Amino acid sequence: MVGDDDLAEALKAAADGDDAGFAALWRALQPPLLRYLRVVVGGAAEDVASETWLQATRDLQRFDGGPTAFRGWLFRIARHRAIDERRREARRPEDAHDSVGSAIRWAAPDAATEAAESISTAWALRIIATLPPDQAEAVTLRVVAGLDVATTARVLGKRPGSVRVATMRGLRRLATHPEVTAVGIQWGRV
Amino acid sequence: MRPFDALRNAIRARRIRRIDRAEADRLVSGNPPGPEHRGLGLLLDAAAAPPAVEELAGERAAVARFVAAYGDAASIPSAPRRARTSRSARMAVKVAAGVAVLAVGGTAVAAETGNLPAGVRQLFAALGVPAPDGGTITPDPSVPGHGLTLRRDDAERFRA
Repeated sequence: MVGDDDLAEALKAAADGDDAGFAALWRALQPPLLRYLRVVVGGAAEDVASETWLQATRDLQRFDGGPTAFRGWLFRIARHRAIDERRREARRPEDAHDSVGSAIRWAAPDAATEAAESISTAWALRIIATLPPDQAEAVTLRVVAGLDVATTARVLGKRPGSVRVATMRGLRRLATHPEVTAVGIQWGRV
Repeated sequence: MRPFDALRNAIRARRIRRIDRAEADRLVSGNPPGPEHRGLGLLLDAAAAPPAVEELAGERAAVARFVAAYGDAASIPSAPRRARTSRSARMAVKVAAGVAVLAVGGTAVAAETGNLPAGVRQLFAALGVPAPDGGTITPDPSVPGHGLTLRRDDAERFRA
């Protein structure tokens, strides 16, 4: 993970329009952003990530804060764009019958194949995406994006206490997920 | 029978033991769980694994979009939303690019494939679509307007 000092420098450069600074920001934050969006909007993650960066670019000159605040700010933009995406998806007639949401649909088709393969990031995100939305978001932002409780709470518009509870419940549920326990047993033997 | 009882109790204790807040905090900060939650530990490690190559594959395109969006083009109201980069939108861009190529450079330029004029590249950049040759998009300030630049006051109004 990129240190906050490097990120602060990149942030400053990007805010001044420097493309190398932006590239450094993007390299540091695109992977966790993409993973968060995979959990939240599934197959639309790449597009929503692009929209997020575009909006961030537009508003960058007005952003006034350090790397921690920037992380939270970026993920907050991503969350809003993800909500828009879900609304768009819900409006599309062919998806009207699908109330489960895109995350699950993204997860479902190759579930068996993925499990048969091995432990991968895609596998982990797919399992996390099966959690109730508030738990899935809390776990992803805390574990994958590495946001602290206060920042996660700001991103989700919740109180820190709710974030901690949602994270704990999410982890509990993940711990008892059949694929997760199976993997634990399998790897315990090796 | 006592060893058996002990074993059964141990198994039961493992089953019952749930993750509490303190344990959740520990796990979130990357500490490995006990053996009863080995699977969860593996899952969390995989979810937070170092970036894969494909996750960083879009860097050039992303930087090109930044360059295009940062300057004057930053305030074009029709941002390249997902809906706008649908197949029909991309086709429209291709058609527009073809027209522009012909209009700007005539057949000589059009024949020189893979080397689009800067104006056309800027058009691609402004629309948030990578140029067909996959090259880096660098807006050329020496090229006067590409038909998409808004006046400052328009831009400000959009931002407000």
